[in-house]
Amino acid sequence: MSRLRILIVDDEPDLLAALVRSVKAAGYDVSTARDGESAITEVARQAPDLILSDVIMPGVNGFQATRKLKENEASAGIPVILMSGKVGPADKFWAAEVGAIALLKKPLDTRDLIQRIEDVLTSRKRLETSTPPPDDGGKA
Amino acid sequence: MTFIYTSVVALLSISVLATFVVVGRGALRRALSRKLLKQAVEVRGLLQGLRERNYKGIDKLLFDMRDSYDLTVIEDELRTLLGDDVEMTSDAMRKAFDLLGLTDRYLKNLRAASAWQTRARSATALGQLADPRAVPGLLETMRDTREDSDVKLAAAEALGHIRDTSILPELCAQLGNVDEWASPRLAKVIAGFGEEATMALLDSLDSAPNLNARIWSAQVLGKIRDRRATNALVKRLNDRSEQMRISVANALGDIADNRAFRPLVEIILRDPVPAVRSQAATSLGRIGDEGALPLLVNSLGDPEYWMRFRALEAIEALAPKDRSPIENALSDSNPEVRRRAALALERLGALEEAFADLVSPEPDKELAARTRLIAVGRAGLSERLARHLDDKNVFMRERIASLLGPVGDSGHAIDLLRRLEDDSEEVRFAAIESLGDLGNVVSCAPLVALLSHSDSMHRNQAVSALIRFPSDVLNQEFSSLAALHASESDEERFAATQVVSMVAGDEVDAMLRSSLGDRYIEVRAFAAKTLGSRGAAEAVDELGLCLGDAEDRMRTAAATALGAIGGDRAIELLLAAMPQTSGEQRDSICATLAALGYDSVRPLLDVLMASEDVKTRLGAIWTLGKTGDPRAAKLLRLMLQEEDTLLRSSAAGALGKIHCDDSVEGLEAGLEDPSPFVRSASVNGLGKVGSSAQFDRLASVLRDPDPFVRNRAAVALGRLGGDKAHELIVGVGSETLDPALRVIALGLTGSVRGIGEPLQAMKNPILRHKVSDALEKEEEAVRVIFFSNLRPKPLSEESPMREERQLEPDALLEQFLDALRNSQETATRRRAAAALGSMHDASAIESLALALARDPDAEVRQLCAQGLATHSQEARAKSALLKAIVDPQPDVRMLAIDAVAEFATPEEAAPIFESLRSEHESLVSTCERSLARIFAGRVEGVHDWMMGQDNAEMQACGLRILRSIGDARSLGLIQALLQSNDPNLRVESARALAALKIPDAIRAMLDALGDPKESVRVGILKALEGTTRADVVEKLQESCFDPSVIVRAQLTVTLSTLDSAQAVEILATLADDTDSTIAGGALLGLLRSPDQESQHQLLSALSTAGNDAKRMFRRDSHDSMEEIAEQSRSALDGDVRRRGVEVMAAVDTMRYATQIAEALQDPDAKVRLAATLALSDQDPERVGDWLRALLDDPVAEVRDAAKRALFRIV
Repeated sequence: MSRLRILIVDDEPDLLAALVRSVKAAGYDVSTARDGESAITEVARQAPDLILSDVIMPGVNGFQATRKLKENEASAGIPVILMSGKVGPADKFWAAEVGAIALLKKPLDTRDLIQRIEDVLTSRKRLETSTPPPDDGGKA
Repeated sequence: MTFIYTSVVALLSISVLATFVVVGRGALRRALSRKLLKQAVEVRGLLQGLRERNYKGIDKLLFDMRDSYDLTVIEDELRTLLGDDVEMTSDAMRKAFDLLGLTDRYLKNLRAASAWQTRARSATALGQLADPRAVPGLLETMRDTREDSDVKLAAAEALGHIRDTSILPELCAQLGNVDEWASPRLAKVIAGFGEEATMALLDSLDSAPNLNARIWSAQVLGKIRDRRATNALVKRLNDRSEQMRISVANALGDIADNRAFRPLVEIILRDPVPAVRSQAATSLGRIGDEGALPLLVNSLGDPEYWMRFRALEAIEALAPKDRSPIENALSDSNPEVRRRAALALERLGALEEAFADLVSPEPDKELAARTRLIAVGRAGLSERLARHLDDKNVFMRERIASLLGPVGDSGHAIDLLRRLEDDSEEVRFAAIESLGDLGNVVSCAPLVALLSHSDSMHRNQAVSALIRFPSDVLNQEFSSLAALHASESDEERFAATQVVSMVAGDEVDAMLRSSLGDRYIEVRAFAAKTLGSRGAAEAVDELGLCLGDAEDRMRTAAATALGAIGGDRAIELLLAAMPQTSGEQRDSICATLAALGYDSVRPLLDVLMASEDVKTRLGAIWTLGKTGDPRAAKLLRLMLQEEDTLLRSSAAGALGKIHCDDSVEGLEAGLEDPSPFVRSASVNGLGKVGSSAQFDRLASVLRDPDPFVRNRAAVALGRLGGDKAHELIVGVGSETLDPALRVIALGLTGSVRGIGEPLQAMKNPILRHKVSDALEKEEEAVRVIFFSNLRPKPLSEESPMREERQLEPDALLEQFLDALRNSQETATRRRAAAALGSMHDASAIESLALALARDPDAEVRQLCAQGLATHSQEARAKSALLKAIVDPQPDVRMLAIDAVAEFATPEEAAPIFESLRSEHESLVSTCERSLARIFAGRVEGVHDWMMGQDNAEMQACGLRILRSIGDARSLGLIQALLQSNDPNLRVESARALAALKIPDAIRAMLDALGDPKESVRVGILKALEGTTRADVVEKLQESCFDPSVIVRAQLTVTLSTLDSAQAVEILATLADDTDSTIAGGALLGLLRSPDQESQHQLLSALSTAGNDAKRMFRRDSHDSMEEIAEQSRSALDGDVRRRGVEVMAAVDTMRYATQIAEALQDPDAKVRLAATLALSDQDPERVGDWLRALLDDPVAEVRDAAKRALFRIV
């Protein structure tokens, strides 16, 4: 069985590298992108099971990228965790507005982050397995 | 004898012995050399054998060699291998040198050896060995100020050779030591590491304590060209050290990373140090982004010539298609910049193009090329032009010859003289003309020789050239000229007379006097004129004789000359000639007399005025006018009373030549004259000597019954000029005036707004013809003003160019277009931009659009933006304005941003968001207004921009835009921002919520009334003004107990705007507040409240209010009292009117006594009674009569009240 893939998006190379190390160490496959635009391209190329994205990035920022992904049927179901150095009320508003599953404040605690990822993926899996039986056309 | 023999033998023995010693030593040395050479061959062979095995086992071999071979031989061979073979520096080899103790010796010798060769050799060897242990010693060597330069060089090379990245921090740290010799070499060594050195250099750039180290680090980073350094370098563009900023700008140019583009642009715009700006300009050019062009072009106007020089270099590096900015720089004030511009044009191939255009059959191209090449020549490249004098193409030779004169390098006179032999007549003429410009002595004799040329054109050309020569140069050819002056040929004499007149001296005067009797009129007239201008007093009588010459021209010339010479005898001769004169001669004589001055001619004028001869009296009037002396105005005003219309109108005309109040008053009186001739002459005069104070008088004459007078009034207004004159002429209606004169008058005003209309009007060929005819009848000054005003550049009065006087509208438009495109004078381009902005023409729009994008002058761009804004329905105007929203100049940007709000799409508006970051407050407000208009109905675009904005300032801008749009879809976002930590953002959020005008928004605001920050609560209360809702009033009640006085004061204001009984109740409560500010505010609130009950509450509250509160209330209530007075006069309900009276009485009976007294006439007895009671304790002097009138009031209660009041007063 193939491992779950997580797309990590951050424009800071050092932080990106640290996140990649931690997430890989937790047993996930990782792909990366340096900004919102490349993240959207990467998702179109190979859809990940979860996206972990920074908010403040050059060009398309994390909120805008999430909104675009949610507008696209193919990527709408991918859970997105956003992270930002500044988590003000407007940021929380946008995170909820664009459909992100969480907005985490940087700096991140690695154990918490991994736990959060696991929680999201587990609940998603549970949701998938509890999918109702196919519609029988109302005969039952 | 024996002694001598013994001595000789001894000497010989010594000689022989010495010979043996010398020979023996040589032999020994040769033997030793052979031995060492043999050893060297053997050692080399052995070492070569090991080479294939990468010198594995060399330690054993060397150990064996130590006993058999000389150590120096081994060392030499090893060093040879080191030098030959880079790969040789293996660990094994390093060990070998260690084993032999050589490395230690080198390390020691590097600093301790006494011979410089040994130290240098050691440094080189250590470098070849790439031994890191050598680094400290090598660095020390480099820093040693007393060390030999060859040794230091060897040390620097060795450090580069070692290439150990671990030493980079140390090397970077060493950059901090100021050492002119070592630092550049050290920098070179570090640069040799390439990108490996980037991180160490970035550390040094960021944190080296020494400025010098940071500066060198920046420079080396530039040399390495690693794009990773861009961001760090950009940060340093704002360093406090200008040297640092220069180095950083230079490094960014080396790296040529596009990310540095904007920051460098900012530096050019803002850095106070010219050297930094110029380096930034150079670097921008190296980055090669064409987007830099407008800014670089702008920098060509920098006050520092060095900056302009660098900007030119940068522009050249970008090789723009449009070279006009470089061409403009040809007229720079600094010669270095001009020459640089010329060289740039040459390198860009523009000179070759200009030479090709110079022979183009298209006149426009030719003229443009000519202008360009003259500028290039003047900038120092005249030699490049002169080369083309020998061109095969006759047109090229002719045109080059013609422009070498204006270029002005007299060294080219020799080249031009060669062209006097040219086969082509045109080339010869052009050469003669240019020789005249240059005035070089070598060309004088050849040109004098041409005066006897059989062809008149050649003679005339030669005269025209020679008269521009300096007098002393011409004097050298005096004998040749005198001979020609005596020639039999009329033409030769005339030519010689003209040229010789330029030479000073009595001999020439005598020659000219003799010419007065010449048979040829041209010679006579010219001689007379010249004698006058030379002030030849001895020629007076001869000139007097000429006043009776058969030729009219000669008589006029003689009169002019006599006037110029002056003196009693000359005046006597002129006056004697007056009665016999024609108009032209009289004019000439009068001008001559007037030129002598008022004081000189005044005694003579009495005689003239008393003359019965009308011509003589006219002469007196004309002379008075021509003196321009204010004292003459009084006499002329008397002449306005003459019976003769001709004399009156002449007097008015003469007054029009004298600038003084007397003249203006006289002319204003002349406007009432029964004769239209006098009125029109007066109007003309006012046009010349009047001012804007006469606008109204002249405007009234625009309706004169005589059409001629009306038209003259329009022209006079035009001459006075300005926007007001333009307005008056346009306002009188086109049917009142002659169309041609109306166009002339509008053109004369010089109002930029007025240029478009005459130009448009003249597209009608018939009208154009009429305008042309009408202008012919006007004075030259009028024509000059008219033609000047219709052109981008003022026209000189002496302008000989007939084509300048053409009225072809397309040609005129073309001139404005050309001026905006090519003029090097900023004022001309500004005028052209303003004029084109008022024209409805596609080419005008195109030209404005181009200038808006690239003109270096901000005001020109501003005018272009204004003009284009009036054509914003045109696609070209739209695209140009959209580009200008990123103009570097805020004023231009504001105009463009404001204009594009009409049509820009959200995508096109994206750059406007960037301008919100500006420090320019007006620009930010303009952006906000414009964005609100663009995104009205498309608010999600603003949301999208605000998404992820982490800057509070930007969020506040976004909130203000949302407030202006007032779209309910913003509710969620604004509510979220209302929770922000930043109180300013919370206030802006509250204001934005208020603008949404939806219940949810109001509820959110009410919830925020508990905000801990006073300014937020005040902001919310302010935002709630006018929001009359039960829940709002309910919530406001809680604010009565707000601890902040400022909040409670705002609460009284907010409550006063609500039409609610409950609000009035709250205000009444607040009127009892212990703080007098609040209590006074509440009283004011009650006064201003729209609720009907409030005045009742006010009267009640006033009776119990404290003095401070009342004082404050009375002070601030006056602005509302006019409304109350009106209420007491005209409210339908008598009770309401009565309350109005009571309120006025309660506020200030004394002040509003008159208004209260009006109520004594009210039909309602209650109102009259209230007014009576109010006035009962006032000053009896003032109110007594009013009250007495009430004693007959039909209502007893009123009568009684009046009686009581009167009784009390008495």
